[in-house]
Amino acid sequence: MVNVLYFYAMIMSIVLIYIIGDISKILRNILAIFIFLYSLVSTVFVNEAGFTINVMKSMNLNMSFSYSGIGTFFVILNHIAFGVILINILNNINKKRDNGFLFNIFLIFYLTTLLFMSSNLFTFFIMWEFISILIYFNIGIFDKKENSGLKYILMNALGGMSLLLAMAMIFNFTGTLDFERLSSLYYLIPRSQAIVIILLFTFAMLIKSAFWGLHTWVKDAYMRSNTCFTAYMSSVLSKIGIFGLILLFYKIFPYDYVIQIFTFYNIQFFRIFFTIGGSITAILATIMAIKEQNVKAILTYSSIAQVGYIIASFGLGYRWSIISIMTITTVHLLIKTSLFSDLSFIEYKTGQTDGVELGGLIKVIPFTFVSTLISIIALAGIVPLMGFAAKWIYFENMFISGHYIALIISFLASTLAFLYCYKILSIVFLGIINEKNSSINYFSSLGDSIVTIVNMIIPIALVIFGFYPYPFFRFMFEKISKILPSANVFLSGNFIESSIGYWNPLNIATIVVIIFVSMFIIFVLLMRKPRKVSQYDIAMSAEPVRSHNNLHYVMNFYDGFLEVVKPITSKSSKRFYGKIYGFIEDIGDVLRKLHLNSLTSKNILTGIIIIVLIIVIWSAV
Amino acid sequence: MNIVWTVLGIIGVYIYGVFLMGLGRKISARVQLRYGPPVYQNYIDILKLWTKKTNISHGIMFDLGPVFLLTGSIGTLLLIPIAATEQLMYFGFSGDIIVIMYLMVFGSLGFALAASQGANPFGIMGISRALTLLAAYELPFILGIVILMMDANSASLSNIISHQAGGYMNWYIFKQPLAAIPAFIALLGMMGKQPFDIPIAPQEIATGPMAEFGGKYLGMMMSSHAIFMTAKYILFVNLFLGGAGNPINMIFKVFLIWLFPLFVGLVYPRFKTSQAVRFFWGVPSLIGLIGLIIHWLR
Amino acid sequence: MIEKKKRNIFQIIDDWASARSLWLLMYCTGCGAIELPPTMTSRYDMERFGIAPAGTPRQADILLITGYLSIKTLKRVIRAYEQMQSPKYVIGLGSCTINGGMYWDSYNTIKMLDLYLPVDIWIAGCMPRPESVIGGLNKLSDIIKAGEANGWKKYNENLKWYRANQKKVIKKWDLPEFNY
Ligand code: SF4
Repeated sequence: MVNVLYFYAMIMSIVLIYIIGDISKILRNILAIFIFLYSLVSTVFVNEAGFTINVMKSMNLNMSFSYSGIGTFFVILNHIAFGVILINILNNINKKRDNGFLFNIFLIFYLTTLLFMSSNLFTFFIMWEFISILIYFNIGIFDKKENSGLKYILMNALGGMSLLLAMAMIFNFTGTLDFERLSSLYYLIPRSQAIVIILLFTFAMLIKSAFWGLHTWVKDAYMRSNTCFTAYMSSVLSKIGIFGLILLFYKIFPYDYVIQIFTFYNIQFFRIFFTIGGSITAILATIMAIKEQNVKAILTYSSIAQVGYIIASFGLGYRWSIISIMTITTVHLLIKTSLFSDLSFIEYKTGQTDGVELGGLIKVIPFTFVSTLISIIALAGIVPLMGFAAKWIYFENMFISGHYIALIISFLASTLAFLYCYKILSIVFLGIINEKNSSINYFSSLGDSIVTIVNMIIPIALVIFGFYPYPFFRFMFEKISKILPSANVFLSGNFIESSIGYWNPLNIATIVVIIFVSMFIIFVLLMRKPRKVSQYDIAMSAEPVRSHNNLHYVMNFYDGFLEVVKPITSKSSKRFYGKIYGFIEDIGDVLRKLHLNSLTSKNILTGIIIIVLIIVIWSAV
Repeated sequence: MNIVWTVLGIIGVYIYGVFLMGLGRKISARVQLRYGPPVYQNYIDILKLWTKKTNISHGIMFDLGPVFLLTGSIGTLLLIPIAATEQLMYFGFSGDIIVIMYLMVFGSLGFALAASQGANPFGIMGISRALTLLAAYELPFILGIVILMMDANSASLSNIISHQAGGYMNWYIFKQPLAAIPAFIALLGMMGKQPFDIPIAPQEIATGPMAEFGGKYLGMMMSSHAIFMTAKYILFVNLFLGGAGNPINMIFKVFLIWLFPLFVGLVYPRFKTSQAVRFFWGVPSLIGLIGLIIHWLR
Repeated sequence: MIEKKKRNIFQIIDDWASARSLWLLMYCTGCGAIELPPTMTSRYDMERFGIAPAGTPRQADILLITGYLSIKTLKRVIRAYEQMQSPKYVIGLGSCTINGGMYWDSYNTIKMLDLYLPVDIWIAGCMPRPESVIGGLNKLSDIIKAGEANGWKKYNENLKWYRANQKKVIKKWDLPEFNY
């Protein structure tokens, strides 16, 4: 049922949302949910179809969409994430002028779906650019003063440009942009140009997925936009870069070819670049997350870190990468959707995401606490939940493919992740409740209750798939097998096995649950009913304390640790880019002096420029 | 029958762990030229804590904290083979070393939430120190583990044990000293004994995470500590001392390793948090890295 | 007064365990505090009787008042005592806790600790030597073993009377009622 009808019907109805939004709020909400369901039914539940829209017949450029393979997986994930986020948005927006926001994010959702369905590079590029511009508009809505949107669009324009260049070069050599045909025509591209293409493409994708060093736009863009939109950016939009890299590695070029042309002196530099670079992204972003005390900022950096693991997975190897990428992508997408949705509910109710003002919310919104707790446990990768599946596959594959240094870096990063995971729970939900927050009515409308229930869906899924992940893996293997004949991690009975280790999720979950329940029974039997004490009644306060900010522990949370990593955290990439800028300026200065001083230097300079131009033109032809 | 053996094993480890705690107090007393408490003092302590008449509670997570801790400790124990006999392998077949390492933090993180709901700033401070310490010693530890995994070409604990078969010169502590040194230094941090008792630090932050816990809660936590401590020693015996054929052998080997943190703890005073991180990420990690590179080049 | 009841076997075990493992919360504002370090360390080593220092009131069994209490500190002591988990005991160290001692004339100290908190055992002297501290602790241990150290029950039952006494000296009573 994915056909031209879907294409046009979605656009029409999204425009309709915008128009109806001015008339009635309830009608708008119903329509929005209806459109989402329509998209869900027509893309997720109906398989194997595609359609083409002709753009330039003479040049053979089509917007063509097909529905198969790994893209399907992303489409499904996109729908899961957006479904949850949509409910949050509909609850959170009350004013009429927010219609633009709803319109915008719906359009982004729709275009992202199409992007994941694109079956040639041209379509991919068009969708990519549309999404970039729409995101810019969206950030602009909420951030009028600062230039975070500008930062974002500049970085992404850079990425878009290199993507366009790469695309042009590919088209130049092969005469097609269709993935199916490219995978058999790639050898037409000369080696040196293939290197340029791969570098440009990778650069574009790494900007989108916030590789360390190219991540400078992320924090502002995430922090300044609406939390619901941040949820969508963090969960789905950051995966567009990943999807592009999958295209590069598995559709446009064969994996081994990409690796092989970057192999010099028998060292596979591209793999090392990805694994080490990804791990370093993970660890640096984790350290930055530990430093923050605004929950949104913590989650932002955590998002960068998780994408770092995914990027690192690209270096693992032909058979090992994809399974690791897909598991981490799925898990991270689900977790971040859930966490940001919970945060948006909290922000909607308290108007805060800063840890200093929050605290003790477990007493007033226990269900949100449970949902966050489960997601956080999954994020930290503690054993019985689904987050561990991703970690386990990642580490095993890292070891098997022999990237020991990257393995150690990422293991340290994932241990450090416990620090911020605990910090989030501690400063938002536990500890002392703020007097301001305790008087808010948290379930003032039907919408609030619905949001709370909907936000529980993903955590429950995380628990179920943590205990019984086999259906998920079977489904994923099936999708992966469309682009890859065999994978190295496989299921045998209840075991998930790799060539060096094994893991029985069901067994371990059962052990943990049985012990937990029996210990709980012992606890209840032996413990007489304990006396409930007030939150201020703590053993250390000789003088009774009666205010939130005296006991709420947020500032200098990990000061001992931060003291050690200060050399890393204080050197922001801003300063780094400032230095590069200064360096370029200095060079320009030197050149100008040369230029002015004598005639010979002028001639030399002209000569150099001409030579550079010739090289560039030659390599591009 | 398996259930009976499992329960027996847990109880045995529990009794042995509490005994070691008491013995540790006695030995440190003797080192300090004191008479010291009786060896069975810790049994009495736990019994007393269990017989306390009242308890206080700060909320549901506070109540669940000790349950989390016990679950984490016993779960970890069950994944580590105590001895090579069939009954005492427990569930060692359900997960490899990476699973064990992630299960080990389950209890501590659950307990961290409890301490956090206790709302005592000292508790949260202690947890933040403990997590920092965890991150600190994890680096040398994983370096050691990765070297062992490279040597055995397997992440499975039973494979690592079987690679050390045949005489004590095959034990990894002698075969891979560059893996053993960082791992054993990490063990000091893991045990939270003297130079690294920063999370507890009674003189600074009033026993940190435990500050709000009394009575039966504390009793559960001490029991859990006894099991968890012994489980970690058993893990180390399996990793570096070639495992054990029977429980008696294991008891002896655990005792041998247990002496190491004890005596180190008696000599050195407490580090600051940042000093501990610098220490662990310094020399031990460097040794591990050198070992890794040497093993890699071979 | 609490009637001496017949104890069953579990209570006997309870009392035995409590007697053999005493964790001290030392309230060291009085001069007697100076005698406690030698009591704890190698010279006198109270740990051989199972007596150990506790970190916080929640974990402690014994509240050891080491001497005179000013009205300000009494407030803290009451709060610490009420945060302890029963069974809990109070030891008054030095003559100041018994009858005011040399602070008899002071405008700012309390004279009889027993009016405010149920003291289980007194250790007389100004100041008591470590030997007598340990002697007192052992005596307390014996009393507990016999099941007669019931100060905490007395406090619960006569809470009104104690509160009235406490409020009489502490003029600006701002202890929260949630304490007990
Ligand atoms: S009894 Fe003597 S030593 Fe003790 S507090 Fe009073 S004056 Fe000081």
